[in-house]
Amino acid sequence: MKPLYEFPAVDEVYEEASIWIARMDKGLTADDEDALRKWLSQSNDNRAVFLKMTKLWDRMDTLSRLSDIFPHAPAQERQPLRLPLGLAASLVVAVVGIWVGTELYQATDSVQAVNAPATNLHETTVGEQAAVELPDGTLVTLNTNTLIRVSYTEERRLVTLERGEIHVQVSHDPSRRFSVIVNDHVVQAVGTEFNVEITSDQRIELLVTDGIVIVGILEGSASGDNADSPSILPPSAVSVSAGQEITLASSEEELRMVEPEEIEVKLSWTEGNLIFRGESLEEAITEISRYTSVEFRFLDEDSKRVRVVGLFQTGDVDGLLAALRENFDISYERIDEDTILLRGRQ
Amino acid sequence: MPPKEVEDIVQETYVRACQAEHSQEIKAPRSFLYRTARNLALDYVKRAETRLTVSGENHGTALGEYHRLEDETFDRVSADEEFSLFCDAVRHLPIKCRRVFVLKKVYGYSQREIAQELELSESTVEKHIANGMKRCTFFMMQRTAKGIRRENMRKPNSRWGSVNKVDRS
Repeated sequence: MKPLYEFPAVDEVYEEASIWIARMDKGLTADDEDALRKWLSQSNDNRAVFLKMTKLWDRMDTLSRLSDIFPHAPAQERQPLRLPLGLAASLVVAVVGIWVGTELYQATDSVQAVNAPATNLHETTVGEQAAVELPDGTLVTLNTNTLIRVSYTEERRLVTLERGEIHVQVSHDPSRRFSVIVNDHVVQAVGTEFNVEITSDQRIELLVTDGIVIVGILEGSASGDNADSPSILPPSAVSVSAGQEITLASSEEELRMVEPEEIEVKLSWTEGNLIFRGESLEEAITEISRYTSVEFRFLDEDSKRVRVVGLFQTGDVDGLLAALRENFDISYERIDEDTILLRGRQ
Repeated sequence: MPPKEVEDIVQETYVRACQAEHSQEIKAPRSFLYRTARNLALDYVKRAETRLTVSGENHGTALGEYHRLEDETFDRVSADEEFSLFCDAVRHLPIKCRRVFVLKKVYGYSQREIAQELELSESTVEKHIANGMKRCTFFMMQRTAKGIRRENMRKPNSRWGSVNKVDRS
């Protein structure tokens, strides 16, 4: 007697289809493929379910968007290390060995004569960003609301960060030290890449993306003529290598490794994006506010604590407001051109 | 291990739809299983078609089958809602399965890479992927078959679509 043809339960079809998908994802051998073809020819259910599921499988690749927000590097040895540091308060130094965003640099027409000792100013307004190529080929990217003063001579290269945030890709030249003056600190490099920011509370954050920099306190006054000639830093200066982050504060000074994905997030501004990974809305708004003249005010405490995840395009205030209303249930009221009130719905 | 945060997001939170008009943020799909699957399935149709032609019958059946292969079960949801549903689907997976699935679908790891990263055998990874896919499919069928849930109806329509609310309650 011939065996009765058994109709598999639908659940079984899904089960089998799943196994085939996992196997396809791994890579089918010729035998596998024959077997799969045979399985597909067995019933309409098999074909329909399998196609439905493979379609879903492909579409689920849209989840890769999350990897923009949560970049992932394979697990590796990351050693936290602490060093006692004899630096003054309020300096944050972060050093890492990964590079992000070189391609963003564009040559600009701000070319000067190499020997000109003149001081040049470069400025961005709120919400603006700019890329500047210095006479030696050093590339400086200015973030929003930033002012730098550039002073080059044959002996030294000097950039003073008056306000804001810059990312610097230093052109290699051991005969002329490259220094950035930030408040009362000097950051010195031969050939390296780093990011310096004066935060709203006047801390200094330095993130080195390649090579080594030396950080020291400027001798004499915090600014003025001395600032113009930061010679070789004394041995007491701190040298920070790629792959380390150093936080210098009045009470706590530590040097630690920074994960590459964290660097990527910190430098996302060079790509015109701000990345939030679960920060409070209050923190997010503080960051966003750097890029717009609009002032945001919270009318209730709950809204401040909403956690946000996502990619924000710098300066897109209208998009922000729409997202707040639609995604966060936070309404807004524009009381004048530069002031927006935010209020939770409940 | 995926970053802790992504597990949090996927595990404890409901990620609201993101992505609206910023289409440049949509990454190209990495896998094309559907295309392959379709070709393999159509081999059957072609054979059937040949038989039908030989036997002199009209081959409308084969053509019908061809169209029937276009499944639109999951086409009813918008890209925003879909993304959100995917997050939800992954969130409902058992923990080990979820880790494998996140590495696969968020980070695009190969099964071998996942095995190395999570110190599992490749056959275990394959099983987790099969199981995860089945569960995600059922989850999606449940959510889409019964109509789109109310909260998903109130779909964001923002230009700045890529911000999600992380509801930790």
